[in-house]
Amino acid sequence: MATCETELIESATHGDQEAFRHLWEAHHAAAMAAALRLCHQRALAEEITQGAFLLAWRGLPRFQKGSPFRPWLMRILYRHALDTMEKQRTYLQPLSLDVVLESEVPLSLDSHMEQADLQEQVALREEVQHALAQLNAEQRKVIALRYGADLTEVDIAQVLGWPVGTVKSRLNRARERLRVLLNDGGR
Amino acid sequence: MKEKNFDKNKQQEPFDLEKRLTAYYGPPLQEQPLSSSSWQNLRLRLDSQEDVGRGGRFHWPLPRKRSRADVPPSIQDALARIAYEARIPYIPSMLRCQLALRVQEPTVHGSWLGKRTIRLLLPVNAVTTMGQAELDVLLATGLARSICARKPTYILGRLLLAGVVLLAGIMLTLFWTHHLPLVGFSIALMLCASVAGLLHMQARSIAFHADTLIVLWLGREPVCSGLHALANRSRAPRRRRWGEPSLVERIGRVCGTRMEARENQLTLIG
Repeated sequence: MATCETELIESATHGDQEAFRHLWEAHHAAAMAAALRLCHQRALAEEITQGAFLLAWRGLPRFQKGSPFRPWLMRILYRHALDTMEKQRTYLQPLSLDVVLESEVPLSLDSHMEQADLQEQVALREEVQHALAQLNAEQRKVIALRYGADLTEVDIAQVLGWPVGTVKSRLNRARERLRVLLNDGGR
Repeated sequence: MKEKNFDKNKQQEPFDLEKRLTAYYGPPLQEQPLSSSSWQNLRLRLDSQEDVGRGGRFHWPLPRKRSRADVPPSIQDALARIAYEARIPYIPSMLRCQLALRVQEPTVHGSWLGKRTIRLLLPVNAVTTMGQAELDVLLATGLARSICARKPTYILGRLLLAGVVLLAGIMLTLFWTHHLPLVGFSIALMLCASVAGLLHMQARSIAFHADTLIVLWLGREPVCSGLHALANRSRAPRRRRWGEPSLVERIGRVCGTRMEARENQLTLIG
């Protein structure tokens, strides 16, 4: 599998779109899931996924041979997702019941959630989203990667190109701010 | 930590930021396969090199050119074949191909000075919808025009016209210093208009000259087929641009048929 992928990457680097299609088929579903978890909007997640693959296509000549493709792709995806979400100000867009259902179809079907539960869920999310909107862009990014992508501080540092210390301090400041904002909002 | 928390009594629990944030983003989702049309869209973007956000880096707002490696192999092969017919060494870098979403019909430009290059501007769907005859005529047109424009007579003509523009500038300055700016401006304007008109005529002459070369390289019938196909694709085949004969004019000269013939479907297409 690894050898096969290495060959596909090698061919795609030389402009073989068919090889790149195989890479797309192997990884796009995971990339789409990650994007959807971050942005909660299916259409935007699809746009982010396509954009990430487009960036990966252009960046293939700089891909380090022998290293696994998916972590590299996911780093591109996370960076692109965060930039896109900041550009489109998704944190300022109102959440709707449809969005929650759209982003978590399996959950809503399995747990038989009632309408009231869902509405409560939307309200709680809106509260968090409102608090996130009041953070600065860097703080939002670290929070998204920590809780929306389950990355460690070291991984976040690698994705964003910041020193680990900077990630830690920004994450701590973001948490403090959110604690204040959400505590105040909850009262 | 990744467990969903949908407790109804959540608000009564002590505040837990980790839980709130984890609930906001939700657990990792299962893989979300996309439809095959999604790959088709991406493929189109790979072809067109459409721009996406690039981390806030500054980019000049110039149209992106396709590099040699980006030119579809079918187009490269066609140009190599035409260059062979024209007895010209084929250099892949001579072709610059750009696919644009807003472009309705394919256009080609051959460089008049410096390195011999052909700039091909195609609508995004052209790579799949364009016939071989159309492509051949476009590429041959670009190549032939860049060859014709380098003929000494045309170069001499352009040098003379550049001299006239220089003269117009000098006259304008002279009349300005002698407090006759209006006279100077009128003369300079007339000279520049004459230069523009003469350049237009020269460009048309080059275009017709180039069509003769194309017929020599490709043969009259394939050129006619290609021109008719281009005219059918065009919204305004009669429209003339500056220095550019209309497709109808070119068809008339190359194939000997007129627009009526095309409208009656009496084309030379087999």
